[in-house]
Amino acid sequence: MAVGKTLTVYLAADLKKFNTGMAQAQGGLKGFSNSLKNMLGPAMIGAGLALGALATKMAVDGVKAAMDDEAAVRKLATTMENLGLAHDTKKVEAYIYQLERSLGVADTELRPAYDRLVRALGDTEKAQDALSLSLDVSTGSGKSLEAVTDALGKAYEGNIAGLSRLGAGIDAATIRTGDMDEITRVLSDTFAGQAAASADTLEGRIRVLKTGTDNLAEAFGKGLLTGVKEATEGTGDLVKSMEKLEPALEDAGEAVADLVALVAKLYDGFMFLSDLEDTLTTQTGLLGDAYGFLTNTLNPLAGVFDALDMVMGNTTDSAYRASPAMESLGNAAAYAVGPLVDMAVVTNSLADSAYDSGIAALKQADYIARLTKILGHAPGVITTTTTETTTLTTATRNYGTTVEEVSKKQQKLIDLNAKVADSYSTTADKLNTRMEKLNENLGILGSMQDKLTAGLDLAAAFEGQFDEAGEATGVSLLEGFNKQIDQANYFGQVLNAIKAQGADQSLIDQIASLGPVTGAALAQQMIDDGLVTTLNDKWMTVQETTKGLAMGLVPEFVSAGIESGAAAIDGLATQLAKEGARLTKLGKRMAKPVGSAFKSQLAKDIAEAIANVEAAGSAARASAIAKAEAREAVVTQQQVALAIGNIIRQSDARNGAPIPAVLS
Amino acid sequence: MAQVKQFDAYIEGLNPLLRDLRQLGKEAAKELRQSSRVIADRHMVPAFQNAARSVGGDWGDLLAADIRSGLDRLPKVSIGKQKKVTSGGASSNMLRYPTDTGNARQSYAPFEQTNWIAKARTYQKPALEEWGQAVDRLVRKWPVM
Repeated sequence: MAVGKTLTVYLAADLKKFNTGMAQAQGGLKGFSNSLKNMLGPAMIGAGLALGALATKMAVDGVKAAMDDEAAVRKLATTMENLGLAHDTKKVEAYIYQLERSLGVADTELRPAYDRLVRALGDTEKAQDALSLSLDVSTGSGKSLEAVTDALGKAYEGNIAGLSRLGAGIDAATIRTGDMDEITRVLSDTFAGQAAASADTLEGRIRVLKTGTDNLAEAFGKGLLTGVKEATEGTGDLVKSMEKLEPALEDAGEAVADLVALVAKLYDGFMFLSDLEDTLTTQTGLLGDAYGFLTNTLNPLAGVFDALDMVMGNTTDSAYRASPAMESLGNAAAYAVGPLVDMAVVTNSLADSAYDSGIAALKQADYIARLTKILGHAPGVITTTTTETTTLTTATRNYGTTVEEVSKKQQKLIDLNAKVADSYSTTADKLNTRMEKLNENLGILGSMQDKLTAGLDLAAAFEGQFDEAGEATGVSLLEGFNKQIDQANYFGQVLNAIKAQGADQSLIDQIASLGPVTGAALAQQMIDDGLVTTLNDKWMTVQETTKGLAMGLVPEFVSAGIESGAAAIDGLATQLAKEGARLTKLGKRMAKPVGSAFKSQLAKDIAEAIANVEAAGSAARASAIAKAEAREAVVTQQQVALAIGNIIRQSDARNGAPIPAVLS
Repeated sequence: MAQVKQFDAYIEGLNPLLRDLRQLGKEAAKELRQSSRVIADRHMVPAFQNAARSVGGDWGDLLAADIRSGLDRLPKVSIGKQKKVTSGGASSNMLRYPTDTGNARQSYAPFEQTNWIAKARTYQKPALEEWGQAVDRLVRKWPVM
């Protein structure tokens, strides 16, 4: 019910209005259901990777998570209420929600942690700061959030023993002071920003993604639980929506599997690169060793050549003399060329190996560059996925809330329907009674109409065109009808006139039963003589007194009317003048439908007559044609028979043997 | 005037009946409206006023003062007006909702939900009977051809 508007209460309305209202309500539910489908469809399809996990977890884990979440919310709300902080519950829930979104820590962990801290501190703002610090300490120290918040909570309550076991790097002297401000400052200096930094890593982002996925399932489970309560068409739609979503969820699951496979390949690629780097390093080392060996091998040869040059320069003059020795030296040099050629081959082989290694290194560098490019896209994909997951979670949460509201409204509608059904059952009988009465009155009206129109006789109008000798009287059919219509109008006006003067319906019925001519004359006389009121009184008296005796009525009320007629003339004249306008209106109202009905009937009859004449003419023409054709057919058959007879006779004449006629 | 409509009972065939009654003419319709108003004044208005007075504080009298019948072919009453009736500036329309079934929203006034409008619906049977009689009378008095 709207506030600030005037309420108008009607005694009754047509059932159609109620049905319309119900249809609108149902239409609203269906519209909501459709919009839900439209909303969930694109969101879930776009959710991509997160839905892969959702597909397997949503059905079971979602419901369980929703139940756990509800219990945790209720527990924290109760704590807040007991501490007199109930007004901050929404704000705390919003803070937890924000932490969950930004750090990827599940609200099922955050709520108990906050619960522990707010119990110790008794203040919403301080508990929020302590929770933020606990998250940093937990991330930095590797201790669980529960352990950290429990230790901090105890410390805030005065029990500082647990702080030393946290391994948070607080010196014993500081702990012993029990100064929580100082302890908090040290912890903050040591661990500030750890949680945020952790969330910003790849692992942290995946954790945020997982938390979002879990929340998705949780929100879905919450909506599912709420929807199941309704057990109505809405649930059917929900189930259908889930069924429609199954293929999308399967696709999403496959997408996750593909991503995992891709990551595995990346890992293998990294391992291969690492091994390749080691191999390359080893091979490069061998190449260096080969060059060193070559250098070490060539250096003595250079010395040999230098020595030979010196020997050859110094002994030029004595060369000829030492030709045998030269020959020996040539032979020795020839022996030295073979190893040198072999060394050159080895050197070329080493160069080729080095070239191949260089190509492989370039290829590896290109491979690394491409992998780096692919890995560079990964954060973008994860960010997009996280955004989509957040959108989907929000949509699902909204859905759960909306379903809850619709459930309440539907319950109200059901209650209202039951109330209306009770009300209707009590009033329906009354209405039926009234409708019967109305029908009865309409029957009376129909009867009256029949009586008024009893004088309208088409046959009489037709016969009125001729006298007893069959000669035309000069009165046309239309004129005859118009006279009858005028008589009926006059009769109706007269009856209404006496009714307006207070005549009882039974008296009017009696007069009407006399027919348009006699009845109209009688009624007119009653009016003219001013006997309406008197006759009516008499009529009523007679009706009462002679009901069981079946006494004759007419003589009595006629005589009574004559006796008191003069007294009512003046009153009649006054009443007629007063009711003149109304009588005129009533006369018109009566005459119009009667006249139009008979005019239309007359037109219809004339049309039918014309049609009959045309049909008769057509039939006569058709008959004449048929007869003529029959005659033609007879002549033709006779001619054929004659021709055949002639042929037979001629044949007999030729053969000389008469053959008796077959058709004689 | 902004208004909210409620209906005591839903009757199948009421609209066709009202449509047929329209054939009786303007005078007949006028008489039906007058009869319906008389029925509303006789049954509905006292019932709602008595129910309104069951509301605590001075609000009951203020609400009862703003309950009046309307001129229509069906008996009807209007509950509440836009005119300010309290020192705080509240109209009887504003008082109706929190005293009946709604919450007080931002108001600090000690409203109590009494569901008084629903409790007033004891007039339905006699009012419906009288309205039916009025229709019967009308049909007898204003025959149609």
